[in-house]
Amino acid sequence: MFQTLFLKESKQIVRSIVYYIYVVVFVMFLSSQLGSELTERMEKPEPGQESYGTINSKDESAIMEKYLGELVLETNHNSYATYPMGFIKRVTLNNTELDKIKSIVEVCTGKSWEKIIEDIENHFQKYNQSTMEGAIQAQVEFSIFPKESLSYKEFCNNMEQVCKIIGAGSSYNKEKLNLGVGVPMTYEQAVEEFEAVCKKDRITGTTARLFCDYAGIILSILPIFLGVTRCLRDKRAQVSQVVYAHRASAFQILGSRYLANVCMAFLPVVITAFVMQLPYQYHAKTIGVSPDILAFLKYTCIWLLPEIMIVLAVSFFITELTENVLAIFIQVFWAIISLFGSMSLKGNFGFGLIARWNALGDTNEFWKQKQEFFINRGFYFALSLVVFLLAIVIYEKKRKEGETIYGKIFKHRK
Amino acid sequence: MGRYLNIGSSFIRRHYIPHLLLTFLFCCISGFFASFRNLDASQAAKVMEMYVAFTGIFLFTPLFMPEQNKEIWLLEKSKGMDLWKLYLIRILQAIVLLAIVITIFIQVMKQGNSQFSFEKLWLGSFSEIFFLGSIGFFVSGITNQVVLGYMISVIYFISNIGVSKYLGHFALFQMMKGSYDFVVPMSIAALILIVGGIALREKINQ
Amino acid sequence: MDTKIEIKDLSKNFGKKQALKHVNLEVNQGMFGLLGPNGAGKTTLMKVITTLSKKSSGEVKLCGIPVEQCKKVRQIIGYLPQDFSMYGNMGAYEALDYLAVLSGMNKKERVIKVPEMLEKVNLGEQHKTKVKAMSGGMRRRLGIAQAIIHNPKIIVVDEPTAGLDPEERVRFRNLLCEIAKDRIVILSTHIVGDIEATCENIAVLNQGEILFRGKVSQLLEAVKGKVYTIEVSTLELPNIQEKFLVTGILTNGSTANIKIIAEELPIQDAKPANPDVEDAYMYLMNHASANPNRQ
Repeated sequence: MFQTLFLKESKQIVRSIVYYIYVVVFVMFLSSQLGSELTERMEKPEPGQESYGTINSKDESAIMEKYLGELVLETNHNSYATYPMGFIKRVTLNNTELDKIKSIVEVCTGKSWEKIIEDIENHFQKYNQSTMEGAIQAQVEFSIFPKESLSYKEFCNNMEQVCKIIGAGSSYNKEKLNLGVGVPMTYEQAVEEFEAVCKKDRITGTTARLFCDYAGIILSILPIFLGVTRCLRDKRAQVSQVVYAHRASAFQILGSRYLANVCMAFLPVVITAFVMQLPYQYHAKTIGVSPDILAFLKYTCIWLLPEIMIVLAVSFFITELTENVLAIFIQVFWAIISLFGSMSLKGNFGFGLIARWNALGDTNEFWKQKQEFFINRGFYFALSLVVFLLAIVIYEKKRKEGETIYGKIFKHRK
Repeated sequence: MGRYLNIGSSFIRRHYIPHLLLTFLFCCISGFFASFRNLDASQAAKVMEMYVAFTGIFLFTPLFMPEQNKEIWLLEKSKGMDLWKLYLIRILQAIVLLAIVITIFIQVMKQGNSQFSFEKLWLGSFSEIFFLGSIGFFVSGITNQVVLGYMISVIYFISNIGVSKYLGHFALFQMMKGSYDFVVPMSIAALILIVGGIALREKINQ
Repeated sequence: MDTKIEIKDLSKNFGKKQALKHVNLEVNQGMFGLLGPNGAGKTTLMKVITTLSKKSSGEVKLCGIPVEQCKKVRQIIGYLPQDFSMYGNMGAYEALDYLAVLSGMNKKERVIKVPEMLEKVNLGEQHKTKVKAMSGGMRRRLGIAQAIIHNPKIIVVDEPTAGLDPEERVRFRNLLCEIAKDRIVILSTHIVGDIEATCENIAVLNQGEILFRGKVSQLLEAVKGKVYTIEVSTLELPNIQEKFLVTGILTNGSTANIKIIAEELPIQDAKPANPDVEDAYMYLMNHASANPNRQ
C-alpha cells in the first residue's frame, strides 16, 4: 500500500503549481549564481603569479593585524556588526564609548588615532573605489600592525574590553578570533591546494561544494511551501474525515506523503547538480585529472538531502498541529536567521540549518572541518526523523479525537 | 458608512486577528535584530527594507483568506454589495495598519538620534513595503491560494538579496544604496497589482 | 462473527456539553435509520462508531470488535461523511482508486472493483470528471462508492440525501437498500421521508438521548387514532397552531386543509386520518419536549 500511495502522491505533486514554482525558482536561483564557468581558479598555479588567492591562517600576528584593521574601519564608520541572535545587527556607539574604543586601538597599535586615520586614507587611495570589487578589496586587504610589544594574550584582553562596549555577539569575541583569518597564499601553498583539489576533490568535488552552498540557501525556504500546501490540502478539499475513516495507518498516509515530497523536492536538485557538473567534468579531463563523476550525487545527498528532510518535516509537523500557514512564518524566519547569522561564509558549521562553503577549493580546510560537517548533517537527518514521527503522533491524535490541543485552544474562541 | 465599518471590523475579528498578532509580535521582537539608535540614512533604510518589509507580506497577503472557502465566496457574490468594495475595505485597513507600523518604526529611530529625512524614508518605505505586500495580494488573489501568495512574495524578497540587478526600478533594498528613484514606479506597480488582483480574480475564478 | 453493532451506555462529552447521554442501541443486518433534529447528536454517534471521535464512557462493539481497536474496525466499516469531498483536481476514477488504496486494496482488486463501483453508482461514463466539476449528487454517489468499495460489513452514511434533487434522492435511497442486503447500513438523517422509504428499524435521537428504538410500524402504532384532518378558515390557523400540534397545512384560497395530532378529537368536524412516519416523529418530539425527563 505504501508504495502505491507514494506513487500517487508523487503524481499529485507533479501536477501542483507550487511544485512548478519550486523547480523554476530553484533552477533560476542556481543558474544566476553559478551560471558562468569558474574554471580559471582551477588551473595549476605558475610561479611568479601576482596572487594565489587566500588561505585560512591561525597565525597570531595575522589575526591581530586583521582584526585591528577591522576594528579601526568599524570605529571610523561608527558602525559595528554584531550577531546577538544570530541575525546581523549594526551597533552605533555614542562619543564616550567611541573614545574608549579609540584609546584601546591606540594602546594596541602604539599609534595616535590621527595617525591611524591618515593610514586609512593612504590605503584606500590605492584602490579604485568606484567599482564594487575595488571597494570590497580595499576593505578586505586593510590591516594594521600591532605594536611590537603587544602579546596575543594582551590583545585578547583588549578585545574583550571592546566586546563589552559594543555588546553581545560582536566580531571580536574569543570564538571568532580563534577561527583564524584569510591571508594571501604563497606559491607553495597554492600548489598544495591545487593538488588537494585534484586528488581529494578530483575537480568536481569542489564545484559540487559550491553548488551545495548556494542550493542550501534556497532550499532552506522552498520546501516549506511544498509541505504546508500538502498538509493544508486535506483541509481545503475537506477530505480529512474520509481519509481518517480508512484502514491505512497514519504512518502509511503521512509517511507516503512525506517521502514523496522529499523525493520530488530532491529530484530537481540532483538533476541540476548533475547538469552543472558536466562542464567541470570536461575541464578535469583537459587538465589530466580523472573527475569524480558521482561527486554531485555524494554532495547533494549528504549536504542537501538532510536539509530538505528537516525543512519538510518541520513544516509537516507545524501544519498538522495548527492546520494553518504558521509554518511559513516560523520557518522563513528560521532560514533567514540561519542565513544572515552564520559566522562565516565558509565552514564553521556548528548546528546551523544552512551549511556554507562559499569557495572553490580550500579543499584541505574543508577536509579538516569534515567531521563537524558530518555531525551537523547527521544531526539534522536524525532530527528530521524525530520531528516527522511527532507529526505522525499529532495526526493519529487528531484522527482519534477529532481535534488537536491547538485546535481546542484556538478554534473555539468565537 | 456604518455598513462598511461593520464589514471591516467583522473581517478583523473573524480572520485578520492572527495576522495582526503576528505582525505585532514581529514588531515587538525587532529590538533583538535591529538597532534603532544613532543610525544614518542608509542604516535606517536597512532596518526598513530588510526587516519591516516583512510586515507588508503579513498584512496584505491574507486579505482573501475568508474566500478560500468557495462556498463563502459564492455566498458573498450573491449579496447586494459588490465584492470589490469588500476587498477595498480590507485593503484600506491594511494600508492604514502599514502606515502606522512604518510611522512607529521611523519615529523610534528618529527618537534614537538617527539622522535621516523623515518624509523621504517614510515615502520610500511605504511604497516599497506596499509593493512587496501587493505581490502577495495579487498572487493569492488570482490563484485563490494564500500559500502561493506567501511563497511568491517571500521568494521575491530572498531573490533580491542575490539578483536584484535584473529588476530595475522594482528591485528592493534601493534606499540602502541611497537611491529613491523607485518610489513612483513602484507605487504605480503596487496599485496595478492591487487593482489587477481584484479584477482578474473574479474573471479567472468563475 | 455476527454482523451486529452493540452500543452500551455510551456517553460523549465536549467539555461541559454532553453530546451523547447513556445511549444503548443494538443494530442488526439491514437498513437502520437514525432520525433526529439537527444537533441531536447523530453525527457524534456516527463519528464514535467510525473511530473518528473518542467516546467518553460506555462500550461500542462492531461485529464483536471493540471500537478502541481502530485499525480492525476501519477494515470493516465504510463511511460517507455529511460533507463528503475529494481533492478537486482528481477525476472520479482517480479519486476512487486513491481511496481504495487507503482501504488496503491491491492493484488487482482495484482494477476490477473501481470501474465496477463507478458503474454501480452511475458514474461510469463520467469517470474522468474532476471532483471540483461534479454536482452535489455526483459527489455523493462517488462518496457512496468509496464507502462500499472494500466490501465493508458496516456502512455509515451521514445525511446522505441533503441537497439532492428528488430524482437523485430516490435513486440514492434505492442504491442504499440494494447495498444493505447483506450488511448493516446506518443512515442518519433529519429527513423523515428517507427513513420512511428505506428503513424498517429506526432510532430517534434527541439532545443526545434515544427517544425511541424499534420498527417503523411500532412508531406508527403510537400515534394511531391521534391524527385528524380538518378544513378550517385561514383566519383561524394561528389560533389552532397555538393549541394543537399541526403537522400539515394545505391552503386553498381562504380555507386550509390541516393535519392535527391530538390525544382526543380536537374539534367537532375533525376526521380521523392515517398517520405517516412524519406525524409519528412530530408526536414523539413534541412529547419529548413536553416531558424532558422521559427516556
